[in-house]
Amino acid sequence: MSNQLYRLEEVIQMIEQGKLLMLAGDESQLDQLPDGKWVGGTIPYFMTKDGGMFTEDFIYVNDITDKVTDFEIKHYNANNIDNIVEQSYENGFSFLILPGLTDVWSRYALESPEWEDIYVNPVVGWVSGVKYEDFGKIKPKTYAGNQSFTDQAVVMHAKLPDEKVARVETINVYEQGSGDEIYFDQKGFGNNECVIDGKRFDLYQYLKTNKIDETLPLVANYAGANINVGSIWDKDRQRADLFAPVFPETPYKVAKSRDFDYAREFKCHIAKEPSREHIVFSCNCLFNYVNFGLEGKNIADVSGPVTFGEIAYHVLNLTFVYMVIE
Amino acid sequence: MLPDKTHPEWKYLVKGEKQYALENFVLQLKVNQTAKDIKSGKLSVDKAIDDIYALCLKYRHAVMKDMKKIFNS
Repeated sequence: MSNQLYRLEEVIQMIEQGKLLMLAGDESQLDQLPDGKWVGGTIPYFMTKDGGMFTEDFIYVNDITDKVTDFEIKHYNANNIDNIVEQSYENGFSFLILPGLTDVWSRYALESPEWEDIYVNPVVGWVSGVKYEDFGKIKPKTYAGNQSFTDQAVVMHAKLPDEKVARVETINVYEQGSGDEIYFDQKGFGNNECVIDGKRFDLYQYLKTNKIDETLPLVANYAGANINVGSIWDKDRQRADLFAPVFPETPYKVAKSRDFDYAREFKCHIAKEPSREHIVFSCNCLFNYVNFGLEGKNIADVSGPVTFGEIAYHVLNLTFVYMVIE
Repeated sequence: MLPDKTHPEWKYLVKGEKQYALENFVLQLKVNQTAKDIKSGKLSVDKAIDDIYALCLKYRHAVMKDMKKIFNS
């Protein structure tokens, strides 16, 4: 069974056959599914082999029935999301969907990088969302079977055979530019007070005054990994609303300008993956979809949901995330 | 086969004292975490080496290039 978009009736059939599924789709579709061995989240944007696509009429399916030896589906709120690591299998992965802009999303994003055992097993997944026009009007949802939530994360803990291992990687076409180092005193999403060269600035005013392209993320370097923080500028409130958290004692820089061909850049990166044929899940960011005009463009035959945030242990932005089982 | 835990490069790695241009994603994140936690006193160097060694053992194929960079440097 290939990972791709399916019609509602086909997905119902798979669920009734007892398949173990990770699903993404519009609420109108997911709400019609029967209970079963599946988790899901709302989003109507996808990467497909026919190109980037907006659709409210299909459901994206990752079928992992033949990949795992056991599984457990759980849901977590903001008070117990830290249990996710200890409840994973000794060898496996935890597939996580966080409902966007909720307390559980915020707590996971802010605290998970500090959890002692967060890197023992892969935590991979995405942040659910809605049609761009409905942003702020309709709440993103998550599903544990036919039980849906607007305030809880859903997780499929999966156990792998002893001889297999799950590995999570990212493709980030952004890297730090040559501008100022930006520091934040507090970890969080709402921080617009920052320190540059020892002086305090308002982030939005700094970016605006320096004529920074508002589509460029802030980028931190984690021992060689470029970690993006995307933002949407609220010009009425004079704020840059961050979609991933920033952390103290971490220097951020505005990314290098976006004057490259995303598809070409992406193909160079994915070609380096030796286990490309063993990718069992991937997702990309809605910021990339919009900023690089990915609608209708096939990007190296990869597919999956296009999301409000990607999870590769941490909550990321503007990043392609994938997991291989090898 | 990974170098023994007593090899001095493990210490430089977990403390973030040398920039190795690592490529494996989870190793990058883990090194970033151990370096911060050692600096803040939350984690001992020995425990950090144990943790990173276990991670490298799990992903021994995926970290091979990084191991060469670290231990042949």
